[in-house]
Amino acid sequence: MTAVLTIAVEDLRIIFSGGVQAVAGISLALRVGETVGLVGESGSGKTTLAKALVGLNRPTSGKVFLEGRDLTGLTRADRLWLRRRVQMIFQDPLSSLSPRMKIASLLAEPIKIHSLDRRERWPQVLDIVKRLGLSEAQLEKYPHQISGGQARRVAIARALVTDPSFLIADEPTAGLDVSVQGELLNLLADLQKRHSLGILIVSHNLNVIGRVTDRVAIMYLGKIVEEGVTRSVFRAPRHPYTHALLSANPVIDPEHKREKLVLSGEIPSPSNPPSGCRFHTRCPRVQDRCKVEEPALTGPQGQRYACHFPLESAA
Amino acid sequence: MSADALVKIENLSVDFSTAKGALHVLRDVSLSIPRNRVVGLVGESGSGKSTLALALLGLLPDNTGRVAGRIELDGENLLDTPPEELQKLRGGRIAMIFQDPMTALNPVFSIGTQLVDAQRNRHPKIGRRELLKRAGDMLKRVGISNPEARLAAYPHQLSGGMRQRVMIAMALLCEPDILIADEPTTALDVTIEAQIVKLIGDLRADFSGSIVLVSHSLGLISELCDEVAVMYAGKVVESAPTKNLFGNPRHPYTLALLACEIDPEDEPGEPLTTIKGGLPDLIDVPKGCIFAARCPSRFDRCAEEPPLRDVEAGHRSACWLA
Repeated sequence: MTAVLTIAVEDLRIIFSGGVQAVAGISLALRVGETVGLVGESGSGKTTLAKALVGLNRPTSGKVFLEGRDLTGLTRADRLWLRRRVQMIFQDPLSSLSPRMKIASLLAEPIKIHSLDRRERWPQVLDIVKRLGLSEAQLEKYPHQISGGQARRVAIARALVTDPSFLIADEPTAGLDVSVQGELLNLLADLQKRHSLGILIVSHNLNVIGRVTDRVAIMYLGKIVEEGVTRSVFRAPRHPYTHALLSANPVIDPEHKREKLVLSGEIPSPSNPPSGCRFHTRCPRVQDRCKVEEPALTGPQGQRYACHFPLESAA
Repeated sequence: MSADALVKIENLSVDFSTAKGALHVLRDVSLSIPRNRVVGLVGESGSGKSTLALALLGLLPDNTGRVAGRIELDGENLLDTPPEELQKLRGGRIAMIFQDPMTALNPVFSIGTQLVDAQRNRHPKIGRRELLKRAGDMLKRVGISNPEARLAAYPHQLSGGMRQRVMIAMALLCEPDILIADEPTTALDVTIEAQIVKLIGDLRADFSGSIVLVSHSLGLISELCDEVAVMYAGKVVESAPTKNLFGNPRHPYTLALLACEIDPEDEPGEPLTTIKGGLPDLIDVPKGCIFAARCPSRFDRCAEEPPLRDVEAGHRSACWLA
């Protein structure tokens, strides 16, 4: 952890009651000024990992570092500081906004909680509100009186009130129409530049991840199976699961030119993951070694993968 | 489109009653669904694509106000059909696959019982044991292993992908002439979505009916459909064979939708394309072309509403410039 402006997890494990290994040993870092994508199917543990970064899930083992500070044994003061530096936008913006508070009060609440100077902070909040395309008249409304897209903007504005360094966005475009999805992603990119934010986007939408992130990590059953520079990973995936995900991604192809690789079976239960490589039960390249020996994440920094029999590299 | 249409929708208009007045959800929609074809309905929220699907089923919501036009199934107008007759058509000649299989399946009955009940309309004279056997065979056909055990299971014991397979099996057991699938893969992960897409593709070979696929996903539509109708704010703005629609789109809205699709191969850093503005007010519907307010090619004539007309054989567009 050399860089100070980093949030990172080291060998993080989160085991829920009943033995569900939601996160099974993950190391990942997010620096300010970069956008990292976290991709995986339901049950891969991506939301659990995202919540651990904002202190909403307690690690069973492993460490969480924020700007060099170990946050494992979180005190109350630590927690408050962490929440100021790292903010989260939840998947369903409407259920993350209290229905009994006006938008203005919702935006003022973090100022109060963190005892910030209201006179200094409020004009900046109004500036963010304006840049997000919300009008001041909307500040007097209640969450149920605004549209889904507007609620998402309010959630983003609220996350930025404390001037954080990191933003964790869980499925920020889920349920949005394509014509609005681009607008929201453009806004996030604009905010990132202005506030030099580090953004983690959790999504199952590969098109979004491929287009707006600098680096990407692919998760399967609580583990990272491949990570690296988004372009390299998307152009030439080395892990068979990444390859299958990219191949399954529906793209416009009326001539049916593309040969699709369709995986059989479904993601196994995280309470009883397969032996060896966790992907071996669905892998088209599986061999005997995969069933007993778990592959470690290897390869150059730009593209690391956890596979005994990886796909050919691009070079 | 061809003369041999299984379903012919003519000038269909549907209003919903709201506190603020009548919401004109569908306005003057005409569309035909040929036999043995897959027709896609694509559009964003508020386009009316789901309402159109519900109208085909005779399942418009309680707050429906005025309904005008015709929906003909083999020449018979479904809008004139009494409710008890419609009830027989559903699960008989018309079947539906819903977006969320968990809420569409009854949680307190076993899969077997639900698959048997689904066939009662079609086969009132066949006994339960035989219907159960047919259900088991169908589960196998939709790719469910160990069908005997699954027939005894309850919906919560199955995964999302498996539940959607059960829904498809249920719909096919009705041997429908027309199968309506409303966002059948939206609730599923991509690898499971790919499995369901492949399944629907494979089943087409021995399914003699037509399929109406409702989706917001242009990718999914391009993969599965023979023909596509693009909807915007209660109107069909363009319809064409799939290859023509994607290869040579003739309506500015279709073009704009295609431009909004994110291509991960694009250079990062460039701002993403959006469609400026929002949906028009469907209570006090603006005069002229419904897309004009957001259209980059707008000109004087757009104050007059363009009809949906043939621009080449089988390809229709509601734009003066097409």
